[in-house]
Amino acid sequence: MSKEKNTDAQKSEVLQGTLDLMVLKVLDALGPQHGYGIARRIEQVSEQVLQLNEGTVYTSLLRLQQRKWISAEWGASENNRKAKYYSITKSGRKQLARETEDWERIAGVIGRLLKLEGRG
Amino acid sequence: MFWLRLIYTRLYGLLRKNRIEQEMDDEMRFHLLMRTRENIERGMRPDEAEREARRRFGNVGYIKDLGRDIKGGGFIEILLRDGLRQSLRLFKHEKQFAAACIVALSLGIAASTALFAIVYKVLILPLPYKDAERLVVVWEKNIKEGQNRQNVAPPTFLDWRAQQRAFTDMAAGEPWMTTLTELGEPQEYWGLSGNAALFSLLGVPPLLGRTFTSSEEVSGKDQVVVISYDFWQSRLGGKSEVIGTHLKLDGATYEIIGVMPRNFQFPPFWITRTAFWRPLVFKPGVLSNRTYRRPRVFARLKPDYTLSQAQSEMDVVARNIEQRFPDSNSGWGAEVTSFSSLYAEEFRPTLKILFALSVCLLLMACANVANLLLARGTARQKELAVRAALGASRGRLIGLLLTESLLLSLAGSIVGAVLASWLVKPIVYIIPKANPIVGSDEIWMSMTALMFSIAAAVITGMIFGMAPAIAGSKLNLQGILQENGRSSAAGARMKKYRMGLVAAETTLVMTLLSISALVIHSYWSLIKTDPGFQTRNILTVRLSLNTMDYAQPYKRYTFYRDLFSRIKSLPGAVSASAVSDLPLGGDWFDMSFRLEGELPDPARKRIADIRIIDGDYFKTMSIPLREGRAFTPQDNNYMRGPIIVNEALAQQLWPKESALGKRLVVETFPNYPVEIVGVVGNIRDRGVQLPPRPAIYQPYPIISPSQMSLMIRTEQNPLLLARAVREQIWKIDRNLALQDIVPLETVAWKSVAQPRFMFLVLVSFAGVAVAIACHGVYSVVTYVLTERRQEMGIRVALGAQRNDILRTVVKSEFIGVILGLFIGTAGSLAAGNFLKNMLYQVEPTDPPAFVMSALLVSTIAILGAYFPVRRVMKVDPLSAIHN
Repeated sequence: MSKEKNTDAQKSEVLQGTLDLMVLKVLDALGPQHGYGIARRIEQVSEQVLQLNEGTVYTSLLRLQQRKWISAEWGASENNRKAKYYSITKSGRKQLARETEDWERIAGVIGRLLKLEGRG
Repeated sequence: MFWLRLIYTRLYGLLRKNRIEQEMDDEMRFHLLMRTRENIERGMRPDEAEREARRRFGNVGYIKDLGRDIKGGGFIEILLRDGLRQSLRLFKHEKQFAAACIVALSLGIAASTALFAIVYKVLILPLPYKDAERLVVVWEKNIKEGQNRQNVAPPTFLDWRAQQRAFTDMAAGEPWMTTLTELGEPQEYWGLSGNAALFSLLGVPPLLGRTFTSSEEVSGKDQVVVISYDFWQSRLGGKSEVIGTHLKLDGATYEIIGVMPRNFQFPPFWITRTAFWRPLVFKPGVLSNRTYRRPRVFARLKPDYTLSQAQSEMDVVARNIEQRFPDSNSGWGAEVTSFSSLYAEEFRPTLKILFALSVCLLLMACANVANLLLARGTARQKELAVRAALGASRGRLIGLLLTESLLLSLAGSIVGAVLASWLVKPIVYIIPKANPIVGSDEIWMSMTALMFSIAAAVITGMIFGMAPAIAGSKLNLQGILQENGRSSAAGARMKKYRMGLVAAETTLVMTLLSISALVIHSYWSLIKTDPGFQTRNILTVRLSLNTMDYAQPYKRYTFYRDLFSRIKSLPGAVSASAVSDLPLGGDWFDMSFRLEGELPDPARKRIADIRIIDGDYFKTMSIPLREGRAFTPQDNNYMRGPIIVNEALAQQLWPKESALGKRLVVETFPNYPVEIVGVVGNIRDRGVQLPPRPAIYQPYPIISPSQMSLMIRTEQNPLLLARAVREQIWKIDRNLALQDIVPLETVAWKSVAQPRFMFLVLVSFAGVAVAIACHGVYSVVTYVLTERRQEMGIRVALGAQRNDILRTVVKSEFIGVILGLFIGTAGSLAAGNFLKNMLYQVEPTDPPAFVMSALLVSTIAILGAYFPVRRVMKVDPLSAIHN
């Protein structure tokens, strides 16, 4: 089901991928989480600036599952309810590292550009 | 084995997916639960907590759809499961949109389905005889004398029957107008005298009893009759012991030997609604007369003969007879035509036009809905873009959109089918000349018609769904995912499609309207035409003296003489008279004539309408007497007498001098030249739309025809005199059947039934088209404006003039309209050429018609846009922005 051959989809990965990236990061940092926990954590960290429809987290999770960057397992929640827990895989960690590197590179370039403008 | 396994895995896949769906459901439920609890802990009330949790989550159904998009699925699964689910969600959340589409579609589908039901029954279904496609009529024809499709003289028929090889059998039939007495009021009926072979030819066995045999085709044995189902039910109460009972027809006693089944009609043309069939007996005088062309000949093709082979065969036979009897049959050949081409010949073109019109309406409805879908497509682009990004293939998106369209059109077809079933009866009722052939209770919404409406729905669904689906799935993601997608390339393309649709719809409306305007104008001219005589306050009574009592001319003469003097002295009768053929009644009689002393010249035949009248005819009918005098009671010589002619004849023969005193020879009495004693104004008694022909009037005593119509002028409502008239007639002869005691105005009204029908139909179609067009413009503009509310609110708040906004939004719609007006005008000018025969005194390029139509279309476009725009203009900018 991968759509890598479609360039349009590739472009959109950059946009959608931001959310995916955040999900991977949360799972990497906090370990296995269920969807609700991930959504809450993202909101917390972004200090309420990022108001997303929480449902979109689940589409992100589906996508990541298809790419095999995360894996899922049914378990019991804190209050003993049935919930699906996600954890990052080895290839997921590799993807996370790659994307973090990309982001930092872009941020650096933009930073330099801005400083450049300031001087002139 | 392979197929089994495939089916198994597919099914398993379906089931498995259901499990996955179940898991998704569980997950989401868990999420909502957690959020709700947290909200409650933060102090919200439970119902508030849950609502807030849901709001934060977003549209659950949508998320699940996205999930399914990612997972993908087989084509069928897409259509059935996902498509259905989404489409139903669409109907729930966008009720107005769905309703608008369904209304438009149901109108179009209703019109076309109703017409299809009628067309199917009349044109496509076979006639109620065995293997009806192999039945033919064989005519005599004489091309040189311009005589096509003539009936056949008995001796010729008998020769044909003996010598031909192309038909299994031939049978002749003669019309039989008969008066039934001793069963309530005397009444006239149509019947057919036919050979016994006729029934075996048709292959339809009687319901009760038997049909006659050839041994009964002999004078003395021929007083047996087979009756029709309708007659049996209506006059004899459907009693089963009817065989062997008797009827008094034309004063003679006939034994009923059989009853034909329901829905059996013969012939299906020529003489319709026959109630009786009796054996045909050729009188001795007729058996050797090869010019007595009264019987019509029916035959059945042998299995291995085609129509053209049969024609060649009959050509040979006819030539044979020509050679043996050159005096009577020189130039006379045979012509073979099939039943099916003759049946419904009169209104087949009408039906075709009607069907074409209804398809036009359906196309208009499709254009409406496509327009709506495209307008909506622009708004949906964001959603579609997201799905495409999530991995939904273009095919899948097209499939989803198509499913929506199909559901809409199916819903439209259901409503349309219901509407159609109500439309069928009224439509058949008003088709003139259709009723004798097809009873209105025989046409109904059959399964076939229902299938048609569903098929129409599916096809139209594909048509109007395809364009938006394809347009919608070609997505430029970068542009679209910006907030307002109106600057995107796909949005611009959609706009172009929509303009095209508006143009197409306008074209159709314009064409329909201008054709309607032409026909309306034509009908209007028709009913305004002066027929040359008075039609108000005149009572007409058709008299038939065709029983044996009136076989002799003198008996008929005395009857008329007595009756006319009685009627003329009735109180309330201002003036009374009689004429052989009822004006505008559909019958007429003409004959050739020549000047006295002229030799008959077959190349240059003079033909005039012949009318036998009572002397007061011109006075009663207010026909002006230009020269000379009217007939007096002294003009009562049998087979002799003066004549009166009309201006047309006088002008034609004696343009520079008076016609009075000149003498003519009328072919009915070739040895008696007659003198012209009067000239009267021209009248249009054959039909208001037909120009007057030369006419010769003769006083009734010269032959006392067996049929005449009384014309009685009254002061007030003519029908008030009906009873008195009937009494007077019955005082003279109680056994006379009196058909049609109707005012002349009613006769005139019926005579323009065909043009009036076209007028009514076109007005209705035009009305529906206008309704569809209005609805279309209104819905689309409303939709577009609603989508743009936010933008407009911002603009108004920023100080933009409301007029500017109007202009921008509506401009594209109007370009489409103007385009459509031009194309529509061109189209209807072309179509007008085909209509030339139907138009009376109106050119196909009649300017008022087109101008009016164009004005109407423009008004529709303006009004349709006006209301939504005005509503939006009243919107408070702040609330629009916040929405």
